[in-house]
Amino acid sequence: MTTSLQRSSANGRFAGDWVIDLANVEKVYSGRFGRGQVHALRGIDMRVHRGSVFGLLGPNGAGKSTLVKILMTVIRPTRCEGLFLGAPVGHKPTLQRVGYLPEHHRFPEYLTAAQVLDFFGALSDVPRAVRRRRSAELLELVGLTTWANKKVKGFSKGMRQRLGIANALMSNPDLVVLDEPTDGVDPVGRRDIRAILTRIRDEGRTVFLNSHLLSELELICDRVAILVQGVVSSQGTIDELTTDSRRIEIEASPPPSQSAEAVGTQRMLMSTLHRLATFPAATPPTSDGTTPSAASTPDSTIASAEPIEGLFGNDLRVTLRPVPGSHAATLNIYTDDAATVQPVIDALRAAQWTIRAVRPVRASLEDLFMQAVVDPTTGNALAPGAASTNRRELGSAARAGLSTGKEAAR
Amino acid sequence: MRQTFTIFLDAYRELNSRKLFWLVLALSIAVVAAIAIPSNNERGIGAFGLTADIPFLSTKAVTPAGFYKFLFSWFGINLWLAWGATILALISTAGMIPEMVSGGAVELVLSKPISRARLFLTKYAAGLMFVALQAAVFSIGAILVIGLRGGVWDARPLMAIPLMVLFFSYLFSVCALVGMLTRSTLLALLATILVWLASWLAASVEEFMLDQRLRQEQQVERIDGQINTLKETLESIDIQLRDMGVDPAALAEQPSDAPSLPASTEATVTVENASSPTEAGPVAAAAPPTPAADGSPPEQRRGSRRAGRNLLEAGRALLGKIDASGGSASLLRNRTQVVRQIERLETEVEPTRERSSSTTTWHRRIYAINAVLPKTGETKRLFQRFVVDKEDMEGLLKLIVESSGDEDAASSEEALNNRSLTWVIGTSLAFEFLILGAATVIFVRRDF
Repeated sequence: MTTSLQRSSANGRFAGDWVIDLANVEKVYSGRFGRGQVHALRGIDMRVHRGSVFGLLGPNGAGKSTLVKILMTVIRPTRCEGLFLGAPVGHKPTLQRVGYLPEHHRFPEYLTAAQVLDFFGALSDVPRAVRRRRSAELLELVGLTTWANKKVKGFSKGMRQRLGIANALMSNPDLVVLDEPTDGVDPVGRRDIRAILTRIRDEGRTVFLNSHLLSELELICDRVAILVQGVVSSQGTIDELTTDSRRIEIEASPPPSQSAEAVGTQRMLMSTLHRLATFPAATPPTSDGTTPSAASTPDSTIASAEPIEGLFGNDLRVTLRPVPGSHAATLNIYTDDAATVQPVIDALRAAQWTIRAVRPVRASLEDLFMQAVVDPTTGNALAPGAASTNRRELGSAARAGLSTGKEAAR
Repeated sequence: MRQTFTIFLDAYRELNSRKLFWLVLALSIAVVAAIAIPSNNERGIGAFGLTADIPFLSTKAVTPAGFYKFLFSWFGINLWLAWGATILALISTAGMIPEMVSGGAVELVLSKPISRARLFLTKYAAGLMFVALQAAVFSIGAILVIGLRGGVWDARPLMAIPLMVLFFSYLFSVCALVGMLTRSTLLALLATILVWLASWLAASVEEFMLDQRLRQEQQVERIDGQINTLKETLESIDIQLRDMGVDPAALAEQPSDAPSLPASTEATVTVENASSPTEAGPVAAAAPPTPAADGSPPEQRRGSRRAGRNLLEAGRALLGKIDASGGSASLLRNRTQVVRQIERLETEVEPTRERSSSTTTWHRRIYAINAVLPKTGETKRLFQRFVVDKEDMEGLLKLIVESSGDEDAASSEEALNNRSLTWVIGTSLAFEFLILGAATVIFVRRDF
C-alpha cells in the first residue's frame, strides 16, 4: 500500500471538505502459486463530499465490494493514495468515526439486538453509559425497540438489516458506509431506511451507499460514481451526469378526423415531422393545417416503437414515436429550455393535434447505468471484472468475474 | 482495555450459548465428587461401608491427604483434565476462530478500531479462558476434598490451572491456525487432534527408547564393571604369583599349560564354595561363564548385577583360600579361569556396546522430533511433580519397588521427572509461539 501523504499536502490536492478523497486505488488478487492474478481495481479516483449521500453503482464484479472493504481495512489495497477522513486508508483509529454495514453481514446469533449494539459499540471503544443510551435511541430509530431483548437468531432479513443500520450508527460516526442496506427488505422497510438515511444526512453525516437498486439510489443520492470493470466510468451529481440526456417530452394525438389506424402509419408521422421540421422556429405557424393526403392511404404500420428523427428549425433535435396501442404519439425535443419548445407546440396545435402532456425528462440512473455497463457495439453487458487485452488475460478476466462474484457471496 | 474486556465477554457469551460449557463444568464437579467418596483405612479403600483390601493405598502406605492427592493426580488430572475435559474443551472452543473469520462476521470486527493482531490474540486468550475456568473449578474442588477429607489444607492443586491452560494452549494454537486458514471448525478440530496424537506418539516412543537406552547403557556398564573386577582379581593373582617366584607374563604365553595341572585345587575351591552357603549362589554364578554371556541380558540382568557386585567379594574369598592352601598350581588354575572369563566378557561387551550406541542414536533422533513437538504428556506430569509430596507417597513407592523388585523400573521415569521445567515448558512454548505467530501474521496480512 502506498499512500502519498507528502505529495498531497504539498500541492493541496486533498484539501477541501472531502470525507473520501482517493487516488489510484488498485487491488490485484494474486492467485494461488502466482497464477490467475486478478486486477479487481485498476486505479480508482474518487471523492465524496462531507454531508452528502454518495452512491456507488456498478454491475456485479465491478469491484464495489472490494473498494468498500479496502476503506474498511478488511482488504489490503495493492496501491492506495489519498485520504479517508483525513488519514491514510488503513489507519485503524480513524475507523472509530466510521459506521459500517457489510453486505451479507451476520451478527452473532446468541446475542440479543441490544447486546449486538453493545458489543460492536464497545469494540469501537464507545463508553458503556453512551452505549446504553445510544442503543436505545437507535433501536427506536430503526423500529426495533420491542425486539431489543430478543435473540438475533429469530430475526427476519429485514430486521437484521435494520439492526445493521443501527449498528453502523453506534459509534456516532462522521461517515456511514452501507453495503446493500436495502437488500432483502420489503418496500415499507425500504422507505423507512430511506427516511433514516435522509435523517442521517441531515444530521451532517456522510452516507456512502453501495447498491444495485438504482431507483433507490436515485431517490436519495446527491452524487454517484459508476464503477465498471475496476475503474470509475463516471461520477458526479445525478444532474451533471444526465445533462446530455435532458429533453422535453410532448405527448399528443392527431385530430379526431384522422382515423385511429392512420395515426400509426409511418407516412403520416413522417409528414407531420416533415411539416414540423419545415417550420422555422422563429416564424409563427400558418393555418395550413389540413389533413395530409397521406393519411387516406394507410400503408405500412410501424411495428416497433422505433423513433423517427428530424430537426426542427435549424438545430433542435426532435424524435417522434407512436405510442403503441393508442392514438397518441410522443415527441421528444432535446432541450431543457421550455421557451424553445413553444413553437413546436404551436405547430402541433396548428395541425389540430391534441396536446396531452408536456413534461421535462432526463435519463434515469438506470439509463446511465446501462449506458456505462453495456458494450455499445454489441448491446451485451460487459464481462464482469477487469478488461482484457490478450488471450491470457481474457482467461484471468473470466476468473476475475468468478472470484469477485465469490467475494460478493462471502 | 474496554475492547479486550468486550472480546472476553463475548467469548463467554458464545461459550455460554453452547451447552457444552455447562456440561463440562458439571462433569468436572462430578469427577471431584466421585473422588471425594472413597477414603483409605488400615486395610485399603473404603466407600459406602465396604472396604477393598488394597495395601498400596492403605493408611500404612499413604496418608489420607496423600491418598486424595494420588486420586486427583492419577484420575483427576491424567484421565479427566488431560483427556476428557481437554477433548470437550477443544470441541467447545474449536469454533471460536472459524466463527470469527466467517464471511459476514469478520468484516464487522475487522472494521473496528482495533488492530488485527490484538483482535486475534485476544480471541485466542479468550479460548484459553474457557479451560482456565474449568481447571479453576476442578482445582478448588481438589483443595476442598483434600482439606475436608484428607485433613490437610494445601493450595498447590491450584497449580493445575496454569498447567492445564499451558497444556491446552499448545493444542489450541494449532486449532487457531487451522481454523483461521480454513474457516472450518471440523478441520481445525481434526488437525489439533492429529498434532496431539503425534505429540503423544512421539513422547511414548521417546519414553520407550529412553528406557531401552538406559537399560542397555546399564548393561554395558555392568559388563565393564565385571571386566574391571576380574582384572583386579587377575592383578592380585599375578602379584601373589610373583611373590611365589612364578612369572605370570611367561605363563600368558603358554596358556595351554594350565589345564594340565592337577585337579586338586579345583576340588578345594568347590568344597570351599559349598561350605559357605551364603555365597554359594553368587560364586556359582560368577565362576562359570557369566550369565550375561549367553546373550539374553534383560531377563537375567538383575541376578547378574548382583553377581557382578558379589564377584569382587568372591574373588577376595578365593584369594583367601588360595593363600591358605599356598599352592601356586591352584593359583595358576584360577588365573586361567579368570583370564578366560575376561576374554569371554570382552567378546560379549562389543556387540552390546554397539547395540547400545545404535539405540542411543535412535533415541536421540526421536528425542529431536519430540523436542519440536509440544510436550503434552510431560506438562501433565509436572502436576504430579509439583503437587504430590514424596513423603505422602513414601510407603506407596516402597511397596511398588518391593513388589516389582525391579530397581531399574523407575530409572526412565526418574529421567523423565528430572527433565528441567525449562525444557518441558520451553520447547512446548516455542512450538506454540511458532504456530501462533504464523497464525497471527497470516491473519494480519490476509484479505477477507
